[in-house]
Amino acid sequence: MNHPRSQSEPHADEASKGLFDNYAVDPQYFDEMFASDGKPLPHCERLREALDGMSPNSLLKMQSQVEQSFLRDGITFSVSSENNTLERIIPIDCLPRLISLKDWKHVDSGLKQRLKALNLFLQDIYNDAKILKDGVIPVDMIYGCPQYRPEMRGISLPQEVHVSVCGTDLVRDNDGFKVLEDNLRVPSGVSYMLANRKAVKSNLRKLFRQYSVQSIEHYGALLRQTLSDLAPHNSENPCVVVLTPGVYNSAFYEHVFLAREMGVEIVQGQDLLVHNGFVYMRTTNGLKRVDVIYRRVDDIYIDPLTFLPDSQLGVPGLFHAFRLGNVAIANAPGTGVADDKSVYAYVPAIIRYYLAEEPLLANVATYLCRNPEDLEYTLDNLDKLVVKMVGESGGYGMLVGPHATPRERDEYARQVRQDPANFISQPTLDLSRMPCLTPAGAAPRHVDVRPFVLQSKEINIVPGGFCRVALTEGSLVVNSSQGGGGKDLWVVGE
Amino acid sequence: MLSRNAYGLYWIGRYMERAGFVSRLVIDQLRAIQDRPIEDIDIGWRRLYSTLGSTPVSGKLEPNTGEELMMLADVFTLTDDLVFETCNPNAVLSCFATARENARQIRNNITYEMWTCINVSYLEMRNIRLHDIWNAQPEDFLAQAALAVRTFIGVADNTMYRDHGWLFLRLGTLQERALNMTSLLKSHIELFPVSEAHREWNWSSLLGICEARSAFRHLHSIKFSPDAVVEFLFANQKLSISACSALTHIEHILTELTADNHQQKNRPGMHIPHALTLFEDQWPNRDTGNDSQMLAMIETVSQACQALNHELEQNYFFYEIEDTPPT
Repeated sequence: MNHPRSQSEPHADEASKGLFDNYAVDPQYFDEMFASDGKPLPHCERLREALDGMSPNSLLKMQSQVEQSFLRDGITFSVSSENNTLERIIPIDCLPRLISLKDWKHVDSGLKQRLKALNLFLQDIYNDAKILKDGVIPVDMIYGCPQYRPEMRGISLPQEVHVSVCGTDLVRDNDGFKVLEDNLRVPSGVSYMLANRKAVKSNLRKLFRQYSVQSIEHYGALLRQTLSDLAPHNSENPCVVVLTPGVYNSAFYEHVFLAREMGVEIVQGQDLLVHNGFVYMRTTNGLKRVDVIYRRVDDIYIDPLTFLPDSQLGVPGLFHAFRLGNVAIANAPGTGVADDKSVYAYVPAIIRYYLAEEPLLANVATYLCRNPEDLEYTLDNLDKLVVKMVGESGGYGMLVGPHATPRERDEYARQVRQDPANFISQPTLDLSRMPCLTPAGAAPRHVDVRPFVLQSKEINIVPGGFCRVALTEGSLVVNSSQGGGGKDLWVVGE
Repeated sequence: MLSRNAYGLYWIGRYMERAGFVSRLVIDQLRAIQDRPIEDIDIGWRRLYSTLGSTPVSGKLEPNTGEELMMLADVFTLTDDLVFETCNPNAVLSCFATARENARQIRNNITYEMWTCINVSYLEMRNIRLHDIWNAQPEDFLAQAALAVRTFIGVADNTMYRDHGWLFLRLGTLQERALNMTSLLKSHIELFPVSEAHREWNWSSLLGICEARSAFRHLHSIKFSPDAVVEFLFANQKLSISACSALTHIEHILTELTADNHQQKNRPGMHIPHALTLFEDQWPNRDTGNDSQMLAMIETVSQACQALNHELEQNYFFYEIEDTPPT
């Protein structure tokens, strides 16, 4: 068996056509499959053996079959261009990423701790705001945050849970897992987690069985239970719906997928109405009361009477019904304040404040440009840092300093100086790498992972996540909207 | 079931049925151009466009003048208009695209098998252009489209749960079928009156469009009596494509829907029972060869079906909200 080269090692056997012949392990980056000496990590040995038994061509053929099956099944997202809207599949790499059960248990505990603290934080800032009075977080950072919703003050929520569905982006470097960001508004990607599993599992059947991979297929049932637990008035069989902006939303496939997995209706604003403080949907048997809305519509669009007046996507009066406690909305409006990129820097302090525990998962070092010394450091080191706008997501509004031209950095610096509080910076991360299939064999690509955490009466996580991969060589951007793809993530025993 | 989903299923049924119907109309016309005289081809296009209630891309359907027969436009252009023209809502590709878009919007209300069937058919068709298939046998392509429709209906029949979704899908299919049949019969009889001397080919072609030639032969041997053909296509209960069969099934579905909905004030499809009595009373006692009487009865059925559209909207899809909804 040939091992991949460490970067300094010459290529052993140019004549062989093995998948990993040209794969180089770079000690700067944690490799998800190989140790720095080029040998597979213990939990990846069987994967390596199985892949050795397959030719690159047969793997590429498998890759093509999977992509065709995505197209056939309609696992697509919409991309709008000037003239039309195109349906595209999210690229998938067939080689699974493996995480050992031991590592996963640490991730699981860390994520549960984090979400528990964030929900306590949201409950606090919309009620007594003790954390602000105690000076743990600057008051203006919260009340000045565009995602803070004063309308949420004093509202009693079922289980006091604001965030029922959280997608936390995790990266790994040589020091271990770190949280890159929390997605607490309408986190997406879980459908790709399940679709990737289905596709890869059916193509690597034997290996999958040998590994006894932890199951994720019960996510739909778990989500349904989580949402049902939020229902007001202790409804025995609550009516849960998924509220979507509609077919032109880029994540529409996911909305349909989740509704199907949960066995609930997918509705648009036009299907719902509010009467006497209750929400109803229009059915062929007349109006039916709705108890829980899993909304995949941003806060400002959900109710034109409370938020954006010209929203066509929401339901007039919905927030009133929510305020009365007659309908649950997941996630609750106003959760975006807790995943603001400035507030992110304070999450370790939030965990300590509410739980009196040390964070199990570390944050990435973050410089808040609102602080003069951090601003100065950021501007002096733009060529080394990644700078982000606090309210943006999806990789937009971001400067990757080492990859930017001097002109781009100058222009970005001008924007930062104009409104420092709107920016944060972080060191360029050495995101871990994992073999990806390319026409030239396996090649290392940077990856992250977004596990999904559910909270209502209890906190649950399925052992897996949407593993995102930067398919372009050297790229650190894993977002699907910017050239990223997906991988199946297997949580496996040693 | 959510009203919008029911509406989507209803229109999937209608558009898929229409796709199959237009495919069969064009297949018949393409076969005619292989060996029929120019008069037949000309009148075939007229029957086709009149059935669809539309005009060809070249302009209005004027009556023939003098001895010179008008071809309306070349066969390629007309076929393209009816099969691939995205601006023509009746074109086969447009029907598939619209049905598929409806399916995409309500995917959690149809089965995986139904979605795959409609999605794969559309994906296979969408990149094909008429010039790609023109030199081979374009009718084969259309036969595939018609087969895809039948497959979809079969898959739905075998995989769908028998709830309101199924009923509305069937309702759309059957309503479209009845409307298509009545429209085709009206256009045909106006061009080829039953009372006049007939050419067997015209009536055989009509049976061919309806895929009923074989069944007709089993019943009537090889003799084509125009009256028998109309009787067969319009009023034969055992022929699934007949107007009578479609209407009977529509009535059963409406009865089932009404029984389920205790809040409903008015039953939709008020004219359907009346139209059905026509098959029992007036139709068997008609004057054989009386075209205007025949056309009037066909028109009655057609209007009952057309009215159904609005009545369904009022009762199930876009109904007004009462002051006090149920709790």
